[in-house]
Amino acid sequence: MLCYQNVSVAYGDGAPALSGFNLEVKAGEIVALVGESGSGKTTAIRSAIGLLPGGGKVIQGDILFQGLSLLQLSGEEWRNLRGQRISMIFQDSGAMLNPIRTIGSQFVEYIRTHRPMAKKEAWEMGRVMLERMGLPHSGDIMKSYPFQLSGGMRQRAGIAMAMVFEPKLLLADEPTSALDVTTQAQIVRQMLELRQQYGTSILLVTHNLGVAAYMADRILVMTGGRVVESGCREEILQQAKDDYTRRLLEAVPDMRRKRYV
Amino acid sequence: MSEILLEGRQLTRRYATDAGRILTACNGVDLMLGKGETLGIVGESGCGKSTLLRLLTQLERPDAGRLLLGGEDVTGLKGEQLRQSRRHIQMVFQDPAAAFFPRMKAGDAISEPLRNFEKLSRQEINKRVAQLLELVQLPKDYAQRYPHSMSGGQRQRLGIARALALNPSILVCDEATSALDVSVQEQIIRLLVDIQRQRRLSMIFVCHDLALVQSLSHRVMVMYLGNGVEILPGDQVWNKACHPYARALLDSVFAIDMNFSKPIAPLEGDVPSPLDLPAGCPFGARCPRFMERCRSEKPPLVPVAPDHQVACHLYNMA
Repeated sequence: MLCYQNVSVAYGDGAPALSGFNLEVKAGEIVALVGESGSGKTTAIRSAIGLLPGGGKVIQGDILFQGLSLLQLSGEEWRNLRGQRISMIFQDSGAMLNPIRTIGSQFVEYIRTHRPMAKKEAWEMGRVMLERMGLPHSGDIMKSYPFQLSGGMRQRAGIAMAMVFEPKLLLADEPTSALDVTTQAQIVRQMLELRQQYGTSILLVTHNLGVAAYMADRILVMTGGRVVESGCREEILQQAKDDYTRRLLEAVPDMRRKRYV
Repeated sequence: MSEILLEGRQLTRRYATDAGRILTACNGVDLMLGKGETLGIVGESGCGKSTLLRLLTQLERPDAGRLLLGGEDVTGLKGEQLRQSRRHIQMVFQDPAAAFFPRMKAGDAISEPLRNFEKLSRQEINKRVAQLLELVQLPKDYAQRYPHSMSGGQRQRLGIARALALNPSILVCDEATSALDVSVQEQIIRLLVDIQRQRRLSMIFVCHDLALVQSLSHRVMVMYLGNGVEILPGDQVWNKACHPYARALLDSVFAIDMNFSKPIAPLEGDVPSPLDLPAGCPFGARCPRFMERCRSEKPPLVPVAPDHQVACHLYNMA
């Protein structure tokens, strides 16, 4: 599905933010990249949708999506791919949405950008998608402005937009980090259902090891732009070989084991 | 509990909205804080945590209820008396990058509270700054640095040093580690707990991370929609918490020691609006164990075990 081959990314002339990154995501697989700030996890995920922040450039290696090299694509080819076959959800969908336009008008624009159809038809397509993401009163939500929705509802609206064309690959950059715990649980369940319903592969970036361990088939631990360890949940949580992984796990608060007072 | 230092009785704060409606941010919250104790406060956005902190730190005055500091009623204090009272409760903020004036050197920033309250010579100030930096394990020469040239963890140490400058009896931490990476978070927690032991400092630690809060708190209060719904010892949170909302919070936590085969059954819907609060139980609308009684009657906080109180009709035998 998605294949990183020895990818390095640098911003400007600086040291690479990501070096020699290798990863293969299979169809229907959920892979999590975990690590602290500056570990390169966001750089890794953004390079797969051609949206590296200013000055970022792949300086080595190749990224293949269904056998197609993403680094050679023209603007037109990117537009066909993004949204329809690869899409992305962000930490705060509220910040992605235009605050002075309704959810519906933005959703309709998004749909019609990718697939020509009548406005009415696009509206209905969007509304149905909101409903499938577990948002009640989807008609009212289409008419709402982003600030009228709670963080969890906005995130669901963001996921609905990302999933409307049933893409094969969903890139999720800290999708639950800005949410409260009960809302986080709702969104995690939602994403697992996406995989079940549509067979979507998910590449997830998170600093929450608990979420990564619950959701992912495979976890990659990153620091300083490199992968230090990868494996399934048990391999990482119970048999971590790398020092950094062990220190990271040691620092994560848990419910039963560790007490400071 | 040891000697009680801070006590809130039925603290209530209401705000009027533009549309002439009343938003109740804090709805009769009772709490006590003992000397040398940490009280953790957890709850989701909009549960009234921040408003409660503003009441406790005397930045706002409650519309009803009383606040007692060292047994003395400080609710109605004004002017100089209020100013003097505030020095006993100091605060550490969530975002250390935003909590400092960018053009003030670290030494000046942490000595500002000292200069506000005491007449000290330049020499004495330098000495106190050096002591404070040592206390938070920062090198002495950091006094000459600007906050922007430090890492997030170092800045938060600076925030702690500033809050401790006046040697307060209570330290209030508002999500003090939420903006930090986990490894840095752990260092800051260890520092806070060390300082607490050295100085018998009382702490109020507000945080949305239940796992973290219970690990460093002697007692934990769970808030929902402006109400304290359960108070219990930190080490009993996992096993003994019984309020349906507290259970739901626990079921929503993703921890690395959780049972991964357990399906997630999240609480449906969102927290209702604090405008026009329902008459009965604040959690009634989302509660899986809703009873007729919950519709009309708000459950009081009642003891179910030593140091353990719950506001739920299921546990109110009276």
